Amino acid sequence: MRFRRKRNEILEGDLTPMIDMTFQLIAFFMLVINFSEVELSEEINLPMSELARPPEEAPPFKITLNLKEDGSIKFFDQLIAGIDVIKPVLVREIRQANSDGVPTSDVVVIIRADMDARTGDVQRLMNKCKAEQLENFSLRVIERLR
Amino acid sequence: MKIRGYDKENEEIKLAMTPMIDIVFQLLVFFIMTYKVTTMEGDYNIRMPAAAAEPTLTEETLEDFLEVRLKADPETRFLQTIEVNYGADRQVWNRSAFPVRPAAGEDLTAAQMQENRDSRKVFASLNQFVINIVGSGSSDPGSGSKIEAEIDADPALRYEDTVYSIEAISGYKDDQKRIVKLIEKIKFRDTTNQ
Repeated sequence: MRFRRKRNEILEGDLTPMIDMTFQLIAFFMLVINFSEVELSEEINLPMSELARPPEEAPPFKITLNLKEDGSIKFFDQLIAGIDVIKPVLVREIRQANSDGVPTSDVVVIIRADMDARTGDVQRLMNKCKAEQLENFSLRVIERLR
Repeated sequence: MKIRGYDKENEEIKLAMTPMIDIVFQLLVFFIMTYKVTTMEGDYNIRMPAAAAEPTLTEETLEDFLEVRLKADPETRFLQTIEVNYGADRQVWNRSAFPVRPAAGEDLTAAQMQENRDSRKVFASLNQFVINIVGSGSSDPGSGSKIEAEIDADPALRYEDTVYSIEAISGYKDDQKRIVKLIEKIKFRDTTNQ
């Protein structure tokens, strides 16, 4: 009689510790996820520097331009063929900033240029921005750890 | 002698775990896939107002004006020489070695690493020069200097070397790893009309 009953029982492992661990992992990954990095292109090898520090406060409006080695620019997912055709993007972003109540002179242009890019390209890009009355620039670098 | 009611109370309550675990694993996989390790990124701020007219250099302003000229090697596009003009003082440094880049999937040899260290000596010379002029100008080097630096870089120069030069001008790390600021007002030479 006893023997029969055992065979009909469903074998069940204890799932509690696994679920505990899984929730811990989910909590960890949820905390470290960062959606603000969508505008940072991964194709760019930033130059390294010891001194640059992340800005203490976020700028009121920023335009992040990823300048690739070949002189093309990545703005979010949009690939802009060259520096000479960046103007429409800048005009659109400035209009957006102004409608958010940020004057053009307070907009920060973050330039993430590739370490092998030409300095002349970076300067040309800055000149294009200057022509649109943008005057604050941040040259983005990656922290070098010794 | 068994009474049905008692039997029921002794039964364990079982939650249906399977759907919850399914969802939890879905979430876990999503967060693991979107996770990426990022290194801290920092900024060098450069302010370049378009409207400001070029200040004319007089005897007085000349003292606060440091010109840094960067010349690139025409073949490798690495920095070749740094020329600084500060007042009547003019200095030129030649780079002793060019840096070596490792091939994909390979590490640098010890000799190559030494070469790369040597290739950065030219920036140390620039840094030392700036420390000398800023130190002589103000008693508190931590507060940054009123000296303005203008960088006149070869258009072909690798951007990396431009950043190293900006780093050398803008400050250094002391023995306690604190950042000491040297020149904060850094700008590029106006190339709009070129």
